[in-house]
Amino acid sequence: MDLKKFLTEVTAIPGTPGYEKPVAEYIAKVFEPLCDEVTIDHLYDVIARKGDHGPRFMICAHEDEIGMVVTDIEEDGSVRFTRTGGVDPRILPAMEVLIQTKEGPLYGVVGAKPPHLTAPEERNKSIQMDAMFIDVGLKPEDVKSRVRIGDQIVMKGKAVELADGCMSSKTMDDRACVATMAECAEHLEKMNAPAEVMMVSTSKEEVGCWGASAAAFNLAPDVAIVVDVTHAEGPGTGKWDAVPLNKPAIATGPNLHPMLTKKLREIAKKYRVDYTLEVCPGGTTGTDASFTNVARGGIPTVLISVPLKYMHTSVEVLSMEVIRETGRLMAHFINEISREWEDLTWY
Amino acid sequence: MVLKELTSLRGVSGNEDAVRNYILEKVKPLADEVRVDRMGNVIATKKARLESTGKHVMLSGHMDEVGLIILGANDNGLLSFRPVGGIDPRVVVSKRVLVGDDEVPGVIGAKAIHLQSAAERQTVLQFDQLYIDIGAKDKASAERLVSPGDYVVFDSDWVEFGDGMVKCRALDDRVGCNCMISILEGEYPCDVTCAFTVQEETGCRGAHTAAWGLEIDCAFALEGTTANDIGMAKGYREQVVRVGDGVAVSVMDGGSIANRDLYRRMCELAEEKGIAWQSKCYVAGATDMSRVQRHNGAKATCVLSVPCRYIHSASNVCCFSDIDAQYQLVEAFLAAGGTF
Amino acid sequence: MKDTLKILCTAYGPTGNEYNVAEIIKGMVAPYVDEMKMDAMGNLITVKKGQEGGKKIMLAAHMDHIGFVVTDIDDKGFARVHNVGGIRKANSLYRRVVFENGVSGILAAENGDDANDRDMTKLFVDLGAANKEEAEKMIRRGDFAVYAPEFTELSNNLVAGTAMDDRAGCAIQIETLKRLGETKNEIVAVFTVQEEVGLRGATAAAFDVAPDMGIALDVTLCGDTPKGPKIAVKAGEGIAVKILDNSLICHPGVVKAMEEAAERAGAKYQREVLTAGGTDAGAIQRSRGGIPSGVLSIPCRYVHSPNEVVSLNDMEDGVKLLVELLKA
Repeated sequence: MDLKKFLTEVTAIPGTPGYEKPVAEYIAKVFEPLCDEVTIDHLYDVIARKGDHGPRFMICAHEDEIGMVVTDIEEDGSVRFTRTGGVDPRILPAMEVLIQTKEGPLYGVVGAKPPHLTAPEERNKSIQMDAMFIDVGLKPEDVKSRVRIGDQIVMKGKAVELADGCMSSKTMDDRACVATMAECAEHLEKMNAPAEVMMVSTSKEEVGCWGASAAAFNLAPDVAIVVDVTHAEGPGTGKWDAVPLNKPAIATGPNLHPMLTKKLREIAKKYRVDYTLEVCPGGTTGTDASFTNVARGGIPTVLISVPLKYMHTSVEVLSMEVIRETGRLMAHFINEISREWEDLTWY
Repeated sequence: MVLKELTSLRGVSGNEDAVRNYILEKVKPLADEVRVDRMGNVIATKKARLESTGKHVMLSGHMDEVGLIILGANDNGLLSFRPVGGIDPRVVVSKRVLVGDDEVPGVIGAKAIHLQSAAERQTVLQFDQLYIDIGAKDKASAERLVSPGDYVVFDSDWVEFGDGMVKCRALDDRVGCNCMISILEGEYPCDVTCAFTVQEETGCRGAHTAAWGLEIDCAFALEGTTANDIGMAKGYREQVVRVGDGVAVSVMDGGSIANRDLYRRMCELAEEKGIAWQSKCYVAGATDMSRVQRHNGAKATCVLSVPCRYIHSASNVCCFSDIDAQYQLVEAFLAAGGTF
Repeated sequence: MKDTLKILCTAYGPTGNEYNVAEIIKGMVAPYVDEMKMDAMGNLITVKKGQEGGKKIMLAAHMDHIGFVVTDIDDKGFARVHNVGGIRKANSLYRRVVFENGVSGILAAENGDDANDRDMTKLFVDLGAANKEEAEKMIRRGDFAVYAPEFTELSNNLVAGTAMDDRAGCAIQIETLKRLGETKNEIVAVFTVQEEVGLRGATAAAFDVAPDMGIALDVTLCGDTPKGPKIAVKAGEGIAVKILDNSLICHPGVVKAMEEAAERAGAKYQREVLTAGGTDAGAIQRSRGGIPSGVLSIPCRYVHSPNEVVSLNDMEDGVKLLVELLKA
């Protein structure tokens, strides 16, 4: 797969939580040549199936992105908004955005009171979201006829290639992880793994992982593998808060199945996938894994993280090699586990 | 003594293997069907041995305990860690701990009081300022003994003291596990399923799946619950429950409201049988019932707890008479066929 | 519908103790549904059968009402209480509250308590009792109380009262069942419990019902009062079609179907984006394999106060829209 092309294209397609249809349709097209069957369910989860016998694996990476939504239109035509998912209000001033109106995307810029009109004591505080607005440069009556309360808003960004195999774009969280599934599919093809693998691009992760929890219920897999981004070391990250940028991280903690996590680490070692161990101490991991894990009667889950700098901004940075390695690791994991399936001891 | 043996086992949330293996060995001869689900819960069902009312009662107690988890070793050999479950950072300083399945001993130290500034003496040391010291001289030496992800328990043994009191770690909720093992020894005119759950302390995650596929008429959490009854606390509002006053029957907590009829039935049954009981109405915290009640269809639920002082610390304190009262009330309900 | 609303709003039914309201509703809907059952949590599940090839649509309106629970009775006979659901102290102080057995008391606070914080430990109910023994003859620890019933007609078809949240939703649901007649779709109208403590009843009911689509009927905030909440919803401007709140993002297909039904039925509607709060639809949408869901919201002033204000016109629009939607 042309990874750079995929990331450039996929990160530019809107897909705020609940409104993932456009990105779901793009992803479905990408997976069609790689898989046996691709479907989009009623929540816009894309389910790409490869193989039709043996143990059933589900891989989850989410396709939705953080964004905003129109709450009101002021008399002067400025558009008020709130966020869906964890947008940091500090990154918004002067951000370019696209409002997804019924007639198509409408360009706008996020505005706020200029600094020289701001009292000195306020200048040291970050601007709150309800003090901001979107300027679409139209007359108030035109704004009202084009923009409706509830219209979705996405950040506008551009994918760029950086030094040392790095790439930056908006929405690398978590479309980059969708790419790891495509990489995995290519490896599985060569391995001829005796498994049924369902690669699910999940919806609505940023607002509570509903897509993954629905898919886990519907598909009832034997094992779930979740791929999500994690914080890479960068400016201001604490010693135990972040992992190196240049290798995938395998997560461990109460949420994740102990035997499978151990297997995953052994298989990584066997196939020389360099990884960091990421400890997730809490009750949940804050990813789809927390939901697949308790779906139905419990689905053993492992979590692999792709390190990402500047998460939830429009300039997220990652290493492309990590995406390839993560795909390779998952394929080996599925292949090995499915070959020794009958002999596994779960506890 | 089963309870004493249970509290000697390591079982931080996500690492309940030792407790699970012990319980499996105990309940296999007692129950008709014993399975371990994919979350790691032990589900043991005993069919009615006496003429059956046709009812099926679920009991749930958690195997796990609060503890710590290792993030990794620092260059100076000290280990950084985080809590697993709700632990107050103020209670971990100056405690002995056991790290990993090999139980490597360690201590959690702090700067000596003599060296602290006046401001430092007023501030709580947070988890990122605390370290486990296993005596290792450097990172490499520490890494030979422990790995990131190792689970840590408090090193706190069984001490009987005072008027029928016991101190140990993990009484919350090995008392519930102990109660269920005793219950499985009896014979009842109804079916009973005991769920020994995992990961309660990290958000009742085991209980999410424990009731999956079970057709039950009602469910009880058998818990240890916060008692704040000595010191200066006044009235039930501050005390929550009182140690020695009997099993606590919950009206509501932060996670579930008891089924009204089931709650009333338990109160009346305790009165009728002369079992020491108290009502609990403290609207905070949650138990496995917060999941069982509504994860796969509506269930009638109620929480029965043993009052426990200094819960979520190295030293839990319970009273034997309360532990007995919890058993007596559950036994009476089952002996009456599980009707309400 | 006004009479129905009045009966419902003045009925005792705190969160966790909705039995009384359920009994009243049972009597009201019995002639219009094919089946009724109460589940183990107290949800009232009513079914109106459809025909082959129809969809199963779940409606949810919650019966419970925010209130108080007695945590202790002190030596002087004052009942200490904790909130059940999202009680604001400033809305509650020195109000009369009632218990299930009809006992009344005045909700008060210790001197120096800040009415704007969330600390409930300084609240108590004055029953007039001289001591603990007297108080314990009236109520027990664990008993529930609610704001004393109110129902007043204001001008412009606005009505004020207790528990509009969400007996107004229940009233729309009842009225819809009455007017609906034969439909191809199977309609499962659930009167849910324990919404105010985290959508608990709907969570369980949605699993049991396993519908193809879910619709909650609940109140939402209004931004049309002096310095009111920041929301572009006004009382009397029509039923609100929810886009999102904290508990769910309504399925775009359901939103579209609602708006089209409104156009067809000639019902006035407005779009709603609520930045706080949640509804039963949040629980339905996440049940099982995910269920496309939406919400019809009744614009309501002073939500979670003892006098919540709604417009009967908006409720009428809600019924019209819903009947049209369910028929399709």
